[in-house]
Amino acid sequence: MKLQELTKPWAAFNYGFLDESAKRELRRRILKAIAIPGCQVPYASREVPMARGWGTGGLQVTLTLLKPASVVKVIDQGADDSVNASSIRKFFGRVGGVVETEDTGKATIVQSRHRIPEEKLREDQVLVLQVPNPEPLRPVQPDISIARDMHGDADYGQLWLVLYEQLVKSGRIMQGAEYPSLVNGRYVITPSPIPRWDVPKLNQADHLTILSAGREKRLYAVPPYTKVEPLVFDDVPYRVEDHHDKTCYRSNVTGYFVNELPQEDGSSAYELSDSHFGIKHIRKAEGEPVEIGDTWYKNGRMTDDRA
Amino acid sequence: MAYVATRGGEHAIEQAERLFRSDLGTITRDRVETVRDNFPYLVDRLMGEASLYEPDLAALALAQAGGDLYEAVLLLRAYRTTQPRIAIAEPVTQPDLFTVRRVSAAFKDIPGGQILGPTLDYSHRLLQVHVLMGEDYTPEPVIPAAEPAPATQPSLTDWQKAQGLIADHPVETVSPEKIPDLTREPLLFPAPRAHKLQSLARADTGGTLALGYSTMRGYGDVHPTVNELRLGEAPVRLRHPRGTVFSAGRVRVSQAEIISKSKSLELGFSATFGWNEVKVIAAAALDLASTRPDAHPASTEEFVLYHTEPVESSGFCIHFKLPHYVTFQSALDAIRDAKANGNAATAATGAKKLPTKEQEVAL
Amino acid sequence: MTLSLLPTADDSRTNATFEEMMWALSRPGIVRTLPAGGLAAMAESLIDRECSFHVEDDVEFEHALKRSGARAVSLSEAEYVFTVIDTEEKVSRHAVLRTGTLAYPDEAATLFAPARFGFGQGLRLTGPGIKDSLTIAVDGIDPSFWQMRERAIRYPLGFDVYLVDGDDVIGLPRSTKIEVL
Repeated sequence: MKLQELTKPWAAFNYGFLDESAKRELRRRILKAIAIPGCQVPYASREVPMARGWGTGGLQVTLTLLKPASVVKVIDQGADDSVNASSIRKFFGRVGGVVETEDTGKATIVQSRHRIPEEKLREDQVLVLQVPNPEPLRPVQPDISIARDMHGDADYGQLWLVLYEQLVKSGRIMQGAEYPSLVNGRYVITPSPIPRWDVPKLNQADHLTILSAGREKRLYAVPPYTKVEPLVFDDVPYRVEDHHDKTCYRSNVTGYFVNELPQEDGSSAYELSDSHFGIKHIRKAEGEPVEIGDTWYKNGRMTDDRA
Repeated sequence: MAYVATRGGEHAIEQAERLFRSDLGTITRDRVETVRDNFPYLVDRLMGEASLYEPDLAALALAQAGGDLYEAVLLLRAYRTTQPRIAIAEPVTQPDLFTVRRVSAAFKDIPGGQILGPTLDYSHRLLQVHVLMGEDYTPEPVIPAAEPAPATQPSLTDWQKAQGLIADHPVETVSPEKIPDLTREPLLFPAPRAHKLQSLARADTGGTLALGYSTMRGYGDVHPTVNELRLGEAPVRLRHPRGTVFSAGRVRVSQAEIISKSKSLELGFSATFGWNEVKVIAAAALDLASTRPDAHPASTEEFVLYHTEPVESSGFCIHFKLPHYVTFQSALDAIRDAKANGNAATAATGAKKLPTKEQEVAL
Repeated sequence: MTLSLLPTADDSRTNATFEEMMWALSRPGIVRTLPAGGLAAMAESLIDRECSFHVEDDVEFEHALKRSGARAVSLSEAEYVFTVIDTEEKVSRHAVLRTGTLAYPDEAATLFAPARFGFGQGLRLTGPGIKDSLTIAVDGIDPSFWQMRERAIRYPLGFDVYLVDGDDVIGLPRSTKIEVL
């Protein structure tokens, strides 16, 4: 072997920023994550030109998938124009020359923090979720090594206990976002801090979801057509946020996840959290030819015709 | 159509970045060289935490970040990660180090001698305020020793091992490509020794000091003594594909051995790029403390290695500035509902207090 | 700042190959077609000096993989196994494949084996990535392989399989339940 065989002509940065050896590692880990749905696969997690905790996990996955023909949508809290989403999207353009979009239907890759779009994703789309803390057991077991053994034994009793305690103390399950969910009947995952509203969108979905925590160096996946069940008791049904009857003051659309905007008179106004979904409704109302995709929720209710 | 201003965020972040950069002004080669030449210890600290030995790049990172160390570490790490690994240097042993400073607190004198080298340890920390009044502060000339100290020094632990004072752990021969490297593989626990030492070498100086200090102060039963502290230059020797070993240059390194005098003599070790004594002493103390079976929670391997990672800890800390209104909304919903139910229940039963623990269990 | 907006030919090839491999494993049983290069392209997009591999009975391919810097190791140690499983005898040798540990089930083998698609043994697949169920036909794999696989998988422990027919690929992760028809 010669040194030359291991090197190549110098370039300040590679296409897609990550060098090929970093991409190969991510590819290997992503494949294992897909093969064992919900299993947290450790990876080296390279430093990227963004601070840890700012989407570096999602970034590495998207950069690995990136090609010039990719059409990328980046959202934060449901919004395309959120500052960090803008920054990440700009980076993809800068290092990947990709096509940027705000339209869920047009994207090949959707990278998101804290939301899953309201329009259904298709079989050919990848959802990349940024994950701050990949460990659903962290609240009951901060030690990552012990938590790993608990996953190995499918020892989730303490999680159930936490939910039960909430039920007893508060009369309902108080878990807000990142609701622990069982994937393919084996691994409990945190679906990232998406609201409870979004968790059912992972169940038997048409699309592939890759969840990646850059700082914590773990990635996991929910393949298409995979069972994702929020942890619930048989006699206490899973409850999403009570947003089914909220109307967006901008688009006048009702029945989707909203942001609450406190008003000076003490009341609240609501706007659609999925910003581009709202824009499409506004444009359509104004007579523009806009195609709004099929949605998971209809009339404020999850339409779950799947098993 | 107020909703359609979706590019607002993009404009805002661009202008915010411009504001920061225009405050700093133009970064020139001169400026970078000034940083490099004036702040060698800062550059050293940065190169250690970034685990990239390149004073010019480190100085550039400092200039570009306006001296914000965490930003500079991230800049360098993000650059480092894109570079291919083309060769693995030969191992460096203590007698290979071109040693400029070497002290032991464990013995009055040691084979090879105590060499103070460049240090402020015994200086009086007086701010030379007259410089601000236009009077230069020129250091006194150094009077060379009658007999210069040898360039290399033996290892003190070799002597201690020969005396049977320290256990001589067999050295595992690992082929270069099998040396664990956490820039290419995840840190898992229990961590391989190589990962642990590498992680400490890259650790945040301040964070390492904070945790190291806590064990030194008494959280943990390590009573540390500096067995040997060295500053020096390590030769970087590479093996040519034809088999010959050649030197590609030298890097400044620090290393510390901390010896425990409780029960039996045990060593903790740390080494890093650059001259950074505080870090290697603290890290070696943590290495020792975390090896104990009954380590204090703040000095277990997992706790120490995770929480002294400069890029991860600083990044996560500042990420809380990002909007979190979706998660907040999600929690708000549950809280409001629980409150409404609670009020309803209270009104219905007249009960004012929550069930006791026993009642909860009974439910 | 010099940023490369255009991938090199190598970048594009490994990226496109991986994409097909990703979808093959995400949708077990559905044939995906690599842009070119078959097994060699798959190996190139995954394997380097951080990995170990094992090649059965193909010295030339083994030599090519060694050039990636990956370590050639025994069948029971290898992360990536390139092999032929068209006889019962060959299948039985593979009972030693790595299946990971409960703490790290990902530390398991990925097996690449040549096959022919569209005729031969019928298999009904169910599991993650499969809408209801899917029936495929493959030839060139000894029937004993399916029993061996079933015995080896103690989910989440197990190994993952790519069947390769030229540039056509079928992924069979350990999560797929296979019923031999």
